Amino acid sequence: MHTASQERLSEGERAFVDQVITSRTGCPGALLGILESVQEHHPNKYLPVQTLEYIAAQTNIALSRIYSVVTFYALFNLQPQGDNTICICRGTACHTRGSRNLLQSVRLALGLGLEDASETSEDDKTLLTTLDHKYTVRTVACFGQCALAPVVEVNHRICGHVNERTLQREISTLERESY
Amino acid sequence: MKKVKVATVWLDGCSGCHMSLLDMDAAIISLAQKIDLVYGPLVDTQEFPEDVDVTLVEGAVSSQDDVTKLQKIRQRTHLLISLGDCAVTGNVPAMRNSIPVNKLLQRIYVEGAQEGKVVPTDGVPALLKQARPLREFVKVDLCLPGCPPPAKTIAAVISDLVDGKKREAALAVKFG
Amino acid sequence: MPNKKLSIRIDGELISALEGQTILQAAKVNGKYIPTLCDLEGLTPVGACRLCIVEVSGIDRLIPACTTPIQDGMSVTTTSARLTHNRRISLELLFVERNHVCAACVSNGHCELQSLASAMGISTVRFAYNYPKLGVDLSHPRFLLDHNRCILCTRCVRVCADLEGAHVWEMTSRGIHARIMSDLNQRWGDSRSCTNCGKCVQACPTGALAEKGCAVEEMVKRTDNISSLIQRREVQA
Repeated sequence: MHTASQERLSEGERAFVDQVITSRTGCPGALLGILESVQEHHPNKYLPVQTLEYIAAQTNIALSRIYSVVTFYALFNLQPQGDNTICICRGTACHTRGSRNLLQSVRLALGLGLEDASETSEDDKTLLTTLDHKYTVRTVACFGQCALAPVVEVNHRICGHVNERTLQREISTLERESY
Repeated sequence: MKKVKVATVWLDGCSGCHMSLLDMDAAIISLAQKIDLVYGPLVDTQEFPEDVDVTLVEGAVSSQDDVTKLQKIRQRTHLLISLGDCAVTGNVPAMRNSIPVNKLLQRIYVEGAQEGKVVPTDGVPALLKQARPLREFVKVDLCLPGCPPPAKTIAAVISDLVDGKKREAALAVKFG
Repeated sequence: MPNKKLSIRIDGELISALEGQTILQAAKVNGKYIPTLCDLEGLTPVGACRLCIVEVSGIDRLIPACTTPIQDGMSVTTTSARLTHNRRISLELLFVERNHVCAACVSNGHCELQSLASAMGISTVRFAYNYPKLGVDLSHPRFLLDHNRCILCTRCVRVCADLEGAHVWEMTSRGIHARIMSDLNQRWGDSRSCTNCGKCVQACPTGALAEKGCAVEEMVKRTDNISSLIQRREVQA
């Protein structure tokens, strides 16, 4: 649930959105490109509510329409993303090779807890970000790399045949790099 | 003429379907002469008899006890009828299905109780995770939806079976 | 310039219809019945419910009548064993997807989903019920939204966007997680674009959108009002 935000965008942010909208005006399906550019521009790679409201006002597209597009495509984020993204495949092949354990161990390792949100959330997807915004853990239905199962994507790099130990090593590497 | 052996069963339902069964006015008198009511809430028999011709089951399957009963009934019945929406779709008993059983019992028997705040365990069968329709447990030969199914429909179906008639026109059916 | 007249066959009968009409429109004008759920006269057709499927000779797959424009010489079949089989499956899947408890519904007896099931003689469904956990939005002062009863026909979306011009409603998420929502997934009562006109309620084929204060069986929808309003608008335009 998102409540209407009273905060306004900074002048710089507004200028960027304006420029993106102008550059795409008249293109069919302009909204998708606008949203993609604006999200990419955000340091936390997401679309804050006030940005969506500003885009709606400037393009005269209904708020509901924009929200519908944003939630239809997995590409768009409504929550700020961490500096590093760990994406665990929950497809059938990866599941049978223990991706649930990987997901649980990465959640424990990053202090995200195992409290299952499934009872409250309507989605079976996982998307969690650590409080310090260093890591985002998410799941995906399939990377199409089933031969490498279980597959984990670390900052857009595919790692195959992952086990708890190699995953822990990946996290340690990220941890070192951040200092 | 040999009388047709009919049984009725009341699982997780409100007994409204049984009320509807009794609500068929004068038709019940002529029907009573042709059938033997061998088991059900309306008669005293304790054990479900062997070789029953027709069994009408009201209510959803909600507990392990219901499952065991239903399986035995299926074995001993030629024609099993799901009577009413609870037996056919789960209906109102299934409205609990998205709530975990322990939370449900806690809410009703502890938080919702004025006194004796304890979840009953003695002499009551444990609930299944969900209340589900009969068809998901045993083969059902005929479904009579409705909440309750109209008395006329029940009467028509039973007398057809008793007279050994095959129904030509489709039965008028309606959920709810 | 008036539209060109085309000749088509519906269930063998030769019918003349106007170019630009859909199969469903041509059928309706000529008194041929095709079952529908997501269609509402005057609204842009979307082909969401798949109940209006028909057979068109020369085409192997089944075609939705509401979104397919007629072509000269087209031969359409509206009733067959194959169509009945597929329509039944579509309808049964609608019943198992959410919690349609007809007995406890404000629209019991006035529901398009329920009456279509009766008309097709559906006494039970072949699939396992999903029994999802879904919410009810009671935040609007006059109306309510019960996701348990929604069939995602998007009539509310279309009537609000096309006729009222407010575009409060849209679909969020996808697949089994798809939901109707207002504005930025806010509570309906908090929506700033809603004009409280109630057209979505009247357009809704089930009890998903209803007036508050209705008891079981009390919610009677006036879809005819919506259609005649659209017609009058078109005459004015």
